[in-house]
Amino acid sequence: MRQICEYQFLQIKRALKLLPAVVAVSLLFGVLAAGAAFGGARLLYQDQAAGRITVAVVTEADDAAGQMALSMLGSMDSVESICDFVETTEPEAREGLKGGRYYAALLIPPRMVEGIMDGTNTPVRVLLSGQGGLETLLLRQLTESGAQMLDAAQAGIYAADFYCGEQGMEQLIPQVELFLNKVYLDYAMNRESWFRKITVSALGEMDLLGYYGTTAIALLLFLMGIPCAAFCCREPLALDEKLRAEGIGPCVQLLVKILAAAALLLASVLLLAIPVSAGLSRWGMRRLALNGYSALCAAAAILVCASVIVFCFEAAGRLLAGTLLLFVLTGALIFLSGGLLPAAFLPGILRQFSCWNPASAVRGLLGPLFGYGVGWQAGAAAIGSFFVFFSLGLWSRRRMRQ
Amino acid sequence: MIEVDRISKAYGRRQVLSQISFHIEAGQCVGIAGANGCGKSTLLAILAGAMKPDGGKILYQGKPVDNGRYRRETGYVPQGNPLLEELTVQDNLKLWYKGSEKEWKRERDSGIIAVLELGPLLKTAAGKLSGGMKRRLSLACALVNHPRFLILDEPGAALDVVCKEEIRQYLADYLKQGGTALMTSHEERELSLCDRLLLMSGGRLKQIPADTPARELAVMIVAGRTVAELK
Repeated sequence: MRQICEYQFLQIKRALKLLPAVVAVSLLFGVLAAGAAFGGARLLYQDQAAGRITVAVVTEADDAAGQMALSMLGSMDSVESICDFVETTEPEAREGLKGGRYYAALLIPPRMVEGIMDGTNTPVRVLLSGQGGLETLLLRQLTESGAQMLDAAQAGIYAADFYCGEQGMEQLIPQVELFLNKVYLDYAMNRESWFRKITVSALGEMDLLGYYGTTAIALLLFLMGIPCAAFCCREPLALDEKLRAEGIGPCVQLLVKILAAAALLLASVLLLAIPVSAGLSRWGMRRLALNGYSALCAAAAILVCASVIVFCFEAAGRLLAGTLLLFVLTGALIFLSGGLLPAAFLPGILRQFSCWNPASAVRGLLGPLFGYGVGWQAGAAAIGSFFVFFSLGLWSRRRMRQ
Repeated sequence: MIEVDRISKAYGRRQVLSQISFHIEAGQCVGIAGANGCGKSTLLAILAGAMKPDGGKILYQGKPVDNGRYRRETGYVPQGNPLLEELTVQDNLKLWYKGSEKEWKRERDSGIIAVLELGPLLKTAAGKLSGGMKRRLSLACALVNHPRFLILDEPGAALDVVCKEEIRQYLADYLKQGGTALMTSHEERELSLCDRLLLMSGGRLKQIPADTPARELAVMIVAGRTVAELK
């Protein structure tokens, strides 16, 4: 037992000699993985692809009805979510368009509301900036949608007026117009109240940061095996023979190696966790939940990763082959776990098994870092993965030694 | 002291050792010669406990070897160097050392570490040592617990003449102090330390004279037969 402890201590010491290299390469992988996850998220969801659109509005100072209509427009949810209105004068609006301060300028005609009511319909002039790119396209689409909505509303009112006239109920026309105006305005302003709001996400219970955060960390943990290659490769046959002669068999040797690799990954993660957490906080994202529970789950995730990494090098037998196998296996496992493309988009047969994948187990165990719980399935998959990869590693070691 | 009784070992269909039996008396040095791949290293690995035989038994002082005493009293030097190259000489020695810290200090100052001139290199990484020094360290790893029985698999392989001679001298000293050894070698100089010589061929052992000249030994190794059989 004393010799096993000494062997474990020396293997950890040997592994920790690679700590600076692992941390340096992990930083590089971390930047790449975070970039890939962020880019993937944007590609999938177009989330926050465009900034807020500032629009200059020019109205007559004494046009109270026009300003009220503008206020109504600004409070519509489709408009409010992306536009900011700034009231200004026409020369300043034109200057702002040229200088890039505004994406568009709305020149509201005098007595616009009265014009709508009496059917004159003096148009609102919309000046678009040529420099806005995506924002200008969005605004153009929004303006066209608004105009179509207004057209529909006016057509409805004119149809009701016509019907009242045909039926000899001219006296009811103001009442009908008032009613329809109210209905159309209510519809435009409180559109969400007409629908039940249900959020359906392919990411499951996790939000975007949690989902791709766990993917990025899992990917990083698996790929940390590459700078650990020098440690994870098989020891000389003579050492194996001598250890066996001392009663330290292949099973104990492999377990010692996995634990030492896990210690190296854990030390690297500890060094990286503090700056990453601080960085997330600085960029306005929430901090990692670093507590006892999340640390325990992360340690279990690291142990699973270490078993996969050691297996790759045991099975391949050589440094380069092991590195290649680890790279390919990591890519496949992460993809099949739904880490790159959510599992909901995978073919049915792959989706069924994705939760039993070691990468799914690792991602599940990393959930507490982002404030999520660990399901029984992730726990069972983690235990299963560890034993499967440990057994495969042992089988490879025995096969290669014969 | 050691009695090997009808040991057999096969790798798949290839029978490497067939019913091998021999014994080694205390204080004796027995050498095994044979062509490459004839099963010498397999036999030594089985004797060291690094490999299980398919059949047969090994007795150490009349008792089966699967006990702690045999392991404590046996030193094994495999064909390659059993070293963790990233770690220091001291770390490598301590991996195999079974004594107390007090005894370690004595060992370092006047024991085998001093004899093998490894004292000044204790803090050096094993990977930075020359081939000869690595072999010397491997020998020290086996001798650091003062084994009564030493198993050496080609101790001078791949070393230059000077290193081979140094290793031979250490072994001679070990034997002078009453140690028992079993070694494999192709080298006449190394085998000259042996009291008895065995020729391994076709999975079997044959006794040959300990003072067999180098040329005859080479012929026997190549032919896999003793001089008497050749005649």
